[in-house]
Amino acid sequence: MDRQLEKYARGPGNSTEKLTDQKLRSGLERTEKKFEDAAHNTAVAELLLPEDAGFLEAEGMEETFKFGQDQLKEAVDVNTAREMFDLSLPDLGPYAIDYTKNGRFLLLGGRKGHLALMDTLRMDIQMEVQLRETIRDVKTLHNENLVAVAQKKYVYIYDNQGAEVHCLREHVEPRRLEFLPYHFLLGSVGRTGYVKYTDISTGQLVAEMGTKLGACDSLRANPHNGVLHAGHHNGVVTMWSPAMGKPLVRMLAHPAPITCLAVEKGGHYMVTSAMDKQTKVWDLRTYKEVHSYLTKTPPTDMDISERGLLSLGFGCHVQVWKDAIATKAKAPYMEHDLPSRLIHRTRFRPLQDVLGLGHTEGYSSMVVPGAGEPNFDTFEANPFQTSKQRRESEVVSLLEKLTPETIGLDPSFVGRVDADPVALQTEQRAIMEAANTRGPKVVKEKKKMRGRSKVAKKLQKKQKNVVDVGAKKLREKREAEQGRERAREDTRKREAQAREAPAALGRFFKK
Amino acid sequence: MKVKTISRVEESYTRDCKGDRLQVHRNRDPSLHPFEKAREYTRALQSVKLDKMFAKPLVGALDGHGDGVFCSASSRRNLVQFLSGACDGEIRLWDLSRRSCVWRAVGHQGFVRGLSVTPDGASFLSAGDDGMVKQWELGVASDLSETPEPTATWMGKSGGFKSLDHHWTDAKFATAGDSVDLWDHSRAEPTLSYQWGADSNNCVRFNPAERCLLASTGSSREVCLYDTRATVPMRKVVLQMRSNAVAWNPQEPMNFVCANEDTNLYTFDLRNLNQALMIHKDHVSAVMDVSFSPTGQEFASGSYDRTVRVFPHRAGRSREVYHTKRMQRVFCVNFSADARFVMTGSDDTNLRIWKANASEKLGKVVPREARKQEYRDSLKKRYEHMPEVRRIAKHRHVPRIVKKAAEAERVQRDKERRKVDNRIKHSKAGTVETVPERKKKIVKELT
Repeated sequence: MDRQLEKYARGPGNSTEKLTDQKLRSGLERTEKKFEDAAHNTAVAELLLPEDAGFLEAEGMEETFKFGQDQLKEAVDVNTAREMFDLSLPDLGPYAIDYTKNGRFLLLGGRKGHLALMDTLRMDIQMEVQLRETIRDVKTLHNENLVAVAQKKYVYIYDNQGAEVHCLREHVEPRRLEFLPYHFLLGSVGRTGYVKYTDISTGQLVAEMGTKLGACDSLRANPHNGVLHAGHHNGVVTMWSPAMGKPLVRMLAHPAPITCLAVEKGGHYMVTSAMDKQTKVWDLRTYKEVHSYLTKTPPTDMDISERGLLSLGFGCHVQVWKDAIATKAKAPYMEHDLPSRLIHRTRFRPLQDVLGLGHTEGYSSMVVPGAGEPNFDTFEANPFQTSKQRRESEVVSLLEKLTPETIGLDPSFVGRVDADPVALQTEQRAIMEAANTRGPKVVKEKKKMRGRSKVAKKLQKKQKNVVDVGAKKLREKREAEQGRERAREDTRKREAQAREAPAALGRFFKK
Repeated sequence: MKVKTISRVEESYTRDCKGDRLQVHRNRDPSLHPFEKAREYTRALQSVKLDKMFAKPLVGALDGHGDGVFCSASSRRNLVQFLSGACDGEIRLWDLSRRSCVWRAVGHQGFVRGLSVTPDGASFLSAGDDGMVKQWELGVASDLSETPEPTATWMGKSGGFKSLDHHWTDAKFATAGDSVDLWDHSRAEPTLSYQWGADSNNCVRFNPAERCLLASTGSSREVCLYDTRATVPMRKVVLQMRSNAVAWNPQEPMNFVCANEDTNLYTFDLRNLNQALMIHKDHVSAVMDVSFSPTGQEFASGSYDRTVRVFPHRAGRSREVYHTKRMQRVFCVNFSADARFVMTGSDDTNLRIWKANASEKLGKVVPREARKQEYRDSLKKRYEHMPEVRRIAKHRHVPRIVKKAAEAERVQRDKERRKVDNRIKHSKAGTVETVPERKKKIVKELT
């Protein structure tokens, strides 16, 4: 019960101890009581939730990652077994995939121009067109009626009939798309290295920011606060908000180009993979690395499910990791191979225990028990939405569209007085700045004249101004020894002179 | 191997046939509802805007009087019946639900100065400039042509009456004129007559809870309190300017509000008359009448500046201002007994019905809608201090003349404040005495 209460609590309440104003005090106490009651009542009401989360458990000597999909198919019910299917589309791949927010519709975009929208509940094709142009990424917008496609030159928006609705010419040579459903913002990055935001309800370009880090191939939205995370070729991850011209955070995540990244639903953790074959988990509250995993080849794509399962696709292999983000896992939860097909995208299907894989020869889906959120909220994402409900939710969400300024690292800043003590604020700023500082500056050596750029010379030059503490001490010791030797020599000389001098002059010599 | 997966069957999550209600599933897990604060704020902003959009406060105007409407009264037992008296001596009874006049009579020569319905709701009294108090049947006559006759008449000793109020329970009434008189229905002469300094008294009101307590305002700038068991007045407070009307708070019987000529309204606690509990500012001309909501939480005031304002009873500034291009000086204001409407009578011969809450929906509200409205109201309350929300909620369009006058008043006020501040700044500490605003306007308290 306490755990549930904590889940629904809205942080620590206001302290009323020091208040002298009776009216204010009683008002605050009443409000706090309301919050407590609300948390308690919602925690109690959890009993009423209709479904439980899925699971896969090994018995005896078994290991969960050894279970193949065919074995699972025999063990699960027909309804779930139906979710394991392949779409063989060998000609126009590799395929970028995306699901709608309610997990019902699947959008496929083949590199060579094949765009298709599929209703996975009815198992029928809603729309299928050949665009005759390179497709780099696809994204469903607020519902299945509009989809955005990153094509060769621009981003295009198509409706559910496959008709081109808009061409967003501001997004030049886009490579990755992200959509923020509460803000109705479509974000993109591409070859030019600009992060651009377009409000799809008004069609206006809301913000464009240059990353100055060259072409960018990985972009993911933080579902918790709407910040866009972009992974760059120099191993840096930048986080963007349309309200700021500069990145909110800039962190050096890897010493190699970043291949893919993903952000956990709660917004606490980010997982990044790079060409150094490392997959690192980052705590976004401290910007510190939590732990890392080493893979045989760098992952090409990854995703984090609603319940925190991590999927990694590399080559023809897919790994799913459980409890691998907050804690370090020893072995993957599930593994799956697609022989002779290269994984291009892995995406968990929202509200389902399904992992979709876009690869060079089409699309495959595998069942991952325990991946999806079992209980949906009708007013957030409803997989069984009727067309009337869809229309209504569209109107409501447009009315409640959030302004771009509400995107920040802490989404609860709206309506709050910044009451953190100054010391804490400076500390937080220091943490952020520390995360943003670059490594030591590499000075490129000048090409010198013949013979001077030899390796030995270079090393010599490097040693020229280096102060070695040990050598310095030794030198000082030697000098001191020499000094003492010299002094002894002097006294010896003087004594000899005194001896040799006539007795009358003896008084001029010190005794 | 033990395995379980999410497997939703469509039939169990959707309705069976079109007539059924759509299934709604809620999961209150905060991680499923991101941007909670920002969304709430947006909703609050949206509901303030919606309030503005739906703010259509004028329900209707009742036309018919031949001269300016000077006084009005509503029955405490009936929401539909409403009385008004005009400057030409005509009294009209209105059916508010049909918005039509159902009865009329020329009751007095000269102004009708006061109207009050008896506690049983069967009759009403009217007082006029002609020095008469008349009792009339309060029934709905179908035939407007028949000449109505008063059922009883009382004659004042000298001059006309300025105000009339009936006791809340007993068969007594009070009139204000040259003196404040207390009358019994069964007696032709006043049972008591009070006089304390004033040449004429403007307004007289019985306390709804304390049966023997009476308040009046007079021409010598005072608000006077009487205990009707005693033969002499109890206490009075003299303000800098005359008060035109007084109204008791029906929920806090010790508090009353007086509408003053100096554009302000003053709330007093009768136990401590040497300072006002609250000064209610916003009118730019003399306040003519004030009427409390039966909830005691707010009151409406009508002014010579041609506006009607609604004040929360503990706020210094008005919550709402009503005006139209055609409405002239407002002489009488009445809050309806269900606290939903405000009736005003003005110099342009019309009665107007206003909603107390400008954006409230009239008519039937389904429970779902009511809940939504409640949610919106609480959100507005929660985010009322956000600059954008506050700006939209506060903004009211007022006639240019009112706006200019308010600006001029602000300049004067700032000047005064600056002057005092400078004086304090350039004097020895503690030598400049500052009088609080709430005491400044009070000349003296007499017992």
